[in-house]
Amino acid sequence: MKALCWNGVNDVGVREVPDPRIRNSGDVIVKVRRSTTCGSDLHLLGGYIPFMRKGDVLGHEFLGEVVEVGDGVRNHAVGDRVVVSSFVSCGRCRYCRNQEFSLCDNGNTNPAITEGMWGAAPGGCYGYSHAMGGFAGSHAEYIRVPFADVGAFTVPEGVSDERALFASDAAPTGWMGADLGGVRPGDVVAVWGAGAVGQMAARAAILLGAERVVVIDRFEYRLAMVESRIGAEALNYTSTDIGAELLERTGGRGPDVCIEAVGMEAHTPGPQHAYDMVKQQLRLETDRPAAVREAIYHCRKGGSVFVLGVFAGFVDKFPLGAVLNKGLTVRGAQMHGQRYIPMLLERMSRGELVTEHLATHTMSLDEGAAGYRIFKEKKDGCVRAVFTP
Amino acid sequence: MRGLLGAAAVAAGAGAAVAVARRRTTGRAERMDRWHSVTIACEPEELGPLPPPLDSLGFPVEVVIRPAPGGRGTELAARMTEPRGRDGVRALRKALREARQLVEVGEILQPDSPPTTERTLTGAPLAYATRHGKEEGRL
Repeated sequence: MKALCWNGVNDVGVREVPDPRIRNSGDVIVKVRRSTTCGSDLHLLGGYIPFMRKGDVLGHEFLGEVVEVGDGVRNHAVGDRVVVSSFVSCGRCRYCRNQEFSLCDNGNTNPAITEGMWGAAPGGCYGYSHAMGGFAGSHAEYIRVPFADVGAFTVPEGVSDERALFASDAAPTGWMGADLGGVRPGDVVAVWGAGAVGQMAARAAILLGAERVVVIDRFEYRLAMVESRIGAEALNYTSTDIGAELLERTGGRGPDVCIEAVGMEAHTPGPQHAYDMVKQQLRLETDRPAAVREAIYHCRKGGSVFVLGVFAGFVDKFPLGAVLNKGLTVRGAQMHGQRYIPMLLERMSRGELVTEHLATHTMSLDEGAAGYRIFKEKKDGCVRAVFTP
Repeated sequence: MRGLLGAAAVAAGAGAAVAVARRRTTGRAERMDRWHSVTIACEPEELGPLPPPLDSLGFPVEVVIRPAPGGRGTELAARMTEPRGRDGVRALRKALREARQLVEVGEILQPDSPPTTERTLTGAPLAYATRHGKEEGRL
């Protein structure tokens, strides 16, 4: 089959690879109909998460049709149209039973790597390096889905592929940030990053009853989407003083909940960015945490900061003093998709959660390298490049 | 030049993978009689005295099964009763991970096969780390 593979740092291309096979009784094979780029893929492309091998298939956010079913699968049959959570989770361990699916004890076939890095291993993730289990990704004609009864969800009739695709990752990730960040009715919520995940976090905050939701980015076309499609307020940090704006909009308190949806390659104006770039390139820090610093600084006393962006290693100049002296709660997680996807599909079917606008570029798998280039460089108004294998 | 830098970054990272994966097992002198443990989402009665695959390691182990505090399931701890070196520790750790998975899931999650990856020089350290992906780490 054809698949879009990682060939080396900043080098992806379509290759012929072996078709996936059923390996466990709970597996299904899915014929991929749509698979989207994600900002977190850029960390793999750039070599910032150095656990990729030449030929690894990229992609973790996808939707398709079941074409083969393992002996132990109960909830799915050939022909089902399914959206699949990007995390591989067993549904049976203590963490899955607690609805913390990305922490699954049994979803990663290579737990030693992440145990060494982080002290314990999260579950697996499709197309996201050998540190996360080495599972082939979804930028391919077919993909193997382990624990399909837990991680694959039948898409309701009436919800289009274009909309349901983002129930795989962007929508549950955003929802988790608002939910576990503790958004309550009446809150003011600030979201750093107006990509797909940031937009979904903002929409989740609105649906959870936030009084005001403000999204911060530097790309006007994304901020325009935030206002027109999400219904949130938008701030461009390159043309306004974010701190002054947030104080003005919150009666001098600061946002109750700050959600960071940027990740380890954050951009910021001024010398801080140059500092982080130099340290990252010299591998003196692995991740650039500018948006996390901002979120912590601007959050109100006693407020909550949720880190949604992907970080892999170590950051410099972490404002621990602000965390302590303002009494903040700082929390983060990879997404517990299985916890939210059924609810999100219902909301999609009711029209409360609209996602189609995120797919600004739809293209064939053969155009995958070009798609990632446009996506990475944020050219041509790109929010997400979506492939149709 | 850019490609060379990229390859260097990958190789350095892959080397780091091996180092971090070995962090507890082989990163420093380790007591070979140390207890290794997993907590399983089950009741103690659901485990036999020597849950598989601990029963087929090929060397004797001492096993303790006890309820985890706070309703967190069951702790399964094991250690070697005679010196078997680093390979013995690795086998024991892998068996404990698999014992947990057999109880909780009923089978061992297999990696994708056939793989899509190519063998390369820069990928060799990472390939080594994944071959031993259940044997090392912090279990």
